[in-house]
Parts: sequence; C-alpha cells; structure tokens
Amino acid sequence: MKGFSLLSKYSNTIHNWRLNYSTASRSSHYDIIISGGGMVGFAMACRLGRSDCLANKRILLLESSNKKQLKLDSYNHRVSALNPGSKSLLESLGAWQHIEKTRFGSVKKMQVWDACSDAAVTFGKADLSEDIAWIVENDLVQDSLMKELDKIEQVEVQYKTKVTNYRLPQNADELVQVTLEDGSCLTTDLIIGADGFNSGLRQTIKTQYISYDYNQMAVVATLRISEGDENVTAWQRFLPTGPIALLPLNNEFSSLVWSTDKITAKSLLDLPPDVFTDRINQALWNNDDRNPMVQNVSERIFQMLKVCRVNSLEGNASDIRQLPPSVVEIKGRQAAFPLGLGHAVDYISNKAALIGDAAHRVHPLAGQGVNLGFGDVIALNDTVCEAVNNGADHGSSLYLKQYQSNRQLHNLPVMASVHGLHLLYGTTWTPLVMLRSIGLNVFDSLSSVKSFITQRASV
Amino acid sequence: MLLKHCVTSVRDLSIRNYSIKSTLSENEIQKFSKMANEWWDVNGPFNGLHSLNKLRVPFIRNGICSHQKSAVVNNSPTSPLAGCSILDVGCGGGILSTSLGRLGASVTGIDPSEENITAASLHANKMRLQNVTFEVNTIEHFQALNTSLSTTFDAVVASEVIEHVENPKFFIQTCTELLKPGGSLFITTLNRTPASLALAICGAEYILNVVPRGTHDWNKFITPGELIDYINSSGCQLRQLCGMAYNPFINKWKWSGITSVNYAVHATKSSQVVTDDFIQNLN
Repeated sequence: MKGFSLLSKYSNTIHNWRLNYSTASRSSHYDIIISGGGMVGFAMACRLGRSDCLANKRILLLESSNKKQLKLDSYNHRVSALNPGSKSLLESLGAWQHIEKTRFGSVKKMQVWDACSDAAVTFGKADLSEDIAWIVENDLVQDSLMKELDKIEQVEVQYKTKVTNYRLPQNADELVQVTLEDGSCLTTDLIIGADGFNSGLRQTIKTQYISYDYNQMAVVATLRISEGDENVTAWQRFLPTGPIALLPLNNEFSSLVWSTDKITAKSLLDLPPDVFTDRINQALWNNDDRNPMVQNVSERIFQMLKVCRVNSLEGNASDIRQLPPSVVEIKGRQAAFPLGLGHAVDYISNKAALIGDAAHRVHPLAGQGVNLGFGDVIALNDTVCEAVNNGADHGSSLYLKQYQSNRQLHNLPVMASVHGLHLLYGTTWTPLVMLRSIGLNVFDSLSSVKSFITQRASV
Repeated sequence: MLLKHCVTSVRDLSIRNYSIKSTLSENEIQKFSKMANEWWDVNGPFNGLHSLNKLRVPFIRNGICSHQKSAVVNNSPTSPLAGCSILDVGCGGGILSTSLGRLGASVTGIDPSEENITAASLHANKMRLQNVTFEVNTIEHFQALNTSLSTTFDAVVASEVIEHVENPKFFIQTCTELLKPGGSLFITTLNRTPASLALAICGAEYILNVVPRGTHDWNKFITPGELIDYINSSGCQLRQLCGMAYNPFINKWKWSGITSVNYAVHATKSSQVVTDDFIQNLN
C-alpha cells in the first residue's frame, strides 16, 4: 500500500521526464554540443574528441556559416599572436603540423615603445635564440583544426546550422534543449558556447555582462616591409590615439594591427594604398607626439639604467634599441574590426559553459585574446574529464563551477592589465606620460620581472 | 539544544547495543527517508556527499584497479570498472552507486528506506543506467538471501553508513561475507574524537548548518583502531587508511594526514578461504 502511494506520487515526475526523454531519440541527442565554430570552438571539439575518457561520448559542433576553404594566395588579414601555451595545445591536437607545413611568423623579439617619449621595453633574448610567440593567420589555425577534427569519428560538425533558441534545465535531471533555424530540436547534457562576443548562449544564461566600448577599430592589412635583417621582431608603438603594431609573417611581409578611434579608422579605410602606406610610416616614425620634457628625463634614465645593465651578466635584448622597418607597400586592401572590452560575470549555468570571446573580450594590444580562449579550452576539457573520471555527469554544476573559478582567476588580472595599459597610454597628460615613461624604462631593466610577466602571458 | 546534545553524548558513551545481531535502527531510517526528495539537489542538504564523490570515487576506482586487476581485466579509459561487481550498502539516494555505475561497474545498492530506494531508482532510470539496480533491504537480510545463491561481490562499499548502524562489528562481518576472496571493502566514516564533536556535530550541524541537525550521533562514531579490529576479526587486511578534511565554506573535500574527523579505509578479504569442512577435519 505504502509502495503504491509512493509510486503514484512519483508518476507525475516519471511522466514529465518521459516527455523530456522521449524526444531525445538517438539521432537528436548528443552528450556535448558546442555552439560556434571559430578557432576556439574547433579547438574545444578537437580536445574533447581526443580525450580517452570521452571516447564513447557523442559530440556535435554547430557552425552557422559554410565550411571555409582556405585561401593561401595572399596573406589573410586577421592574424593572432599565439603564446607558448596555445602552441602546445595546437601541437597536442595535431594541428600545429599543418601550420608548420604551410606558413607562420616567428617572433623572437618584441619592442614596445611610447610615441610621447621613446621610452621602450623589449622582450626576448638578445641573441634571438628563442621564439616567444608565433604569428598565424586565423583562417589557417581554423583550417588546421578542421583537418584534425575530420579524423575524429565521434565528433560531428554541422555547417550552415544556426541556433535560434537555447532552453537550459531547471534541475540536474533535465536536458538542455537546442532549437535550430529549421525548427528541429536537439538535446544535450552539456552546451558549450563558443559563439563569439555576441554570444546567444550568454544571453540565454542572462549573466551580468560588463562591457565597455572602446570606440575604436583595429585596422588590419598585410604590408611589404623594407628589406633588412630577418623579420622576427614584433613592433608596437603606443600613439595617443592607440597602438600601432607590426607582426612578422615572414622576411618580406608583416601584418598590421592599428588600433585607433572610429573616425580615423574609417578615414584610413578609404585611403588609396600609397597614401595609406605613408600614413603607416608616419605613425611608426614621426615625433609629433613627443613631449620634450618627458623625452629628456626619460633619455637620462635610460642612459643611467644602461650603465647598470652593462654590469649584469645576461645578454639583455634591451641593450640593443632597434629601429622598426619602414613599410614599402600594402598588399591587397585594408580592413577593420570594432574593439571592445567584455566580461561575463558567470561563465557557466545549468549544464552550460562559455569559452573564448563569448565569455571575455579584450583589446588586441597585448595579443592575448585567442590565447585566453585556448586557455579556456584546456581548462574546460580538464574539468569535463575530471567529472567523467569521477563518475559524475559531465554537465555537473559541481565541476563547471570549478572551471569558472579557475578561469576567472586567470583571465581577470590579464584583462585588467590590458585595459589598464589602454587607459594609461591613451593620454598625453604630462604627469602620466612622465610616470609611464620612467616606469617603462625601469621595468625594461628588471629582467626578472619581465621574465615573470612573460611567463604569466605564456599560458 | 547544542549543550544538551554535548552533555548527552558525553554521558551516554556506551549507548550502542552490541548484543543485538542487527544493524537496523528505525530512528536512523526515518532521518533519511524524510529527506528523500532532496538527494539529487546538488546544492541541497546532501551537497557534502555529492562533493565527497571527488574523493571516494577515485579512492574506490584506484583501490580496485590496483588490488583486483582480474576483476577489471576488460576495462577501458571510458569504463575503468567494467567487469567489476560492487555492493553499495546504505546507498541512500544512490549518489555513490550512480557514479560507480557510470564507470562501468555492475552496482547493487541496498538501503532499508523505501523512499530512498525509490529516489535512487528513479534517478538511475533517468540517467539510463542499466548496470545499477537498487533494493530495499538491510545488509543482514541481503546476506541471508544471497548465501543460498552464493552471490559475492568484487567490492563492498559502505560510505558514511557505519556511524548510523546499531552493531558495527556485525555489520563489517556481514559485509565481508558478501565479498569474493581477495575482494575489497571500502568504508568512509567519522572518528569519535573531541575534534569530530566540535567540527562535525557542533560546527556542521549547529553553527554552520551545512548538515541537517541530528544527522549524526557522536556516540556512534568509530575510531580507526576499532574499525581495524572489526576488519581484522572478519578476515580482512587493511590496505589504506586516509584522513579526509572538509571545507564547508566552499563545499570542498581533500585528503588529509589527520584522521581525527573523517577518514577512509580500504581493506581486502584474504584470498585463502578457510572453510568449515577444513576446520572439522582439523578436529
């Protein structure tokens, strides 16, 4: 009697979950669904697909655009500076071998200087013996990951598939429901949002999103540079309007990333190639923004520190102040993309997690954007594997919370620093210019501090 | 209320009735049956047990894989416990059973509370776990039933259970009888020390309210020494004894060198089974 009453008490619950599970037929249910197929989305799919403990899981990646064909006749404008952590990830996924066989730029040295005073910092070994970053076209990274993904049977990719709605579960027993543009519905135990800074999944999670419009755009182009030594240096000059950077692609070409206000950016986009080339050279070389007083003080301090450094045993790259190359011409047309800061207060929700730009968006001045995203990929994969190895549901909030706190602990300081640099170098107010110039010169001479920063930015 | 509990605990040190060959306590069953709906709320009153899985599941998995390689000879990275049969005694809502089932083991969960077993079965069905079954039963009745069937298990687990039973020595003996020779016994429980009174009872139940009040009776806690005695007298050998520490503020467990509050034990039944016939022949 007691047993019967208990059973009837639960019959409603049984009816409800049957409704949930009856639609979850074999073909429409996936253990994990990744929404968004950029570099970070494809890396996530590859990493999950290659984890031994997840070998029996069905994984689906949904990408709204068509499958891209890689074009290699000229350099693609959108490139990324990959740090050692990202390179290791791509190596572990088997994607790096495709990049290596195709093309990439090695960065063995980085020189960053201030247009207001010529204070500068350099990173890297003086003898240029070590790679500190790699410049790879975004399309090539994506294509390499796609090639590896094709080899993984349990991961399916659906192109030209747009998600129109996400329904997250109210409790641990329900599934996530994903509605597609054609009206069909998929279910999953874990939805991963890799759908960029306008993430639909993040909007569904309804987390507080801290955003700041820089009112800037990054103008990108491929440039032929003047011939000289091996092109293995990344250059970045902080102008009051924003940093201009030259990232080495090979001995002949560099990639331009020029962050500036929207009005200037739009006018740069309209310029004919020769005028545009002149403007780039002016931005790299002219001294219009120089503050003479600050320049004076900064130069004296630089000389003082140089004397101190002569006594140190290490070959510091700072001892040799190189001059950037001049730009000969631009290859193809320039393009631009908007810049902003963004951070989701919650990276997770019930059976849902955000990675990459969906969770956080930074200014490209420190080249950290995609590196943070790849870091998310590694962390989320580790979390999912830990859950599975402990017999837990891979969408368990007990584990997703761990992913969130690990990544936020790492990402927030980086984002704060990048934003801080943007603010610091966005002014021409003399006291701040003086402070940052002296600070930069001093920082440049502290090799142990520089190594620490480099190490932190490498993972 | 707290003071009364402490005074009663110190005064009634010998409250357990070791003479009764029973592990059942109606009071204990009621405590948990009332909360049957909340077993699977990861943030509910059983959140500590959910997070304890991060320690006890690898403990059991590694213990079996290292000491009973023959039991998991066909295992794989996705099913590390495939081929292994496990009995989860006092399984409650199936928090541990379900996780062990996901690792590929054939799990039988028993609990004297009907409400708990219903909640456990419902959840296992939702998770489509066909290798996990549940029954309403006490360990002594289950053992009696299975003696005739000669059913034995590769491992018997009693996690956060022995501190709720009436006769722990009898409980351990009965668990061991259900083990195959060389099989593993896994116990997690609380130590009977001033520290556990302060932290596990006063701290957890009365001050921080992270464990429902009245869940534990300090007098029923067992010291590692007592537990090892029961284990040895039932024909098992201690393999591992580890302390566990709980941080209630972040609901996190970690291994510890200190066994004064929570601890875990892994023991194995000796492979040489001395039968009654053999003893008679000796005489």
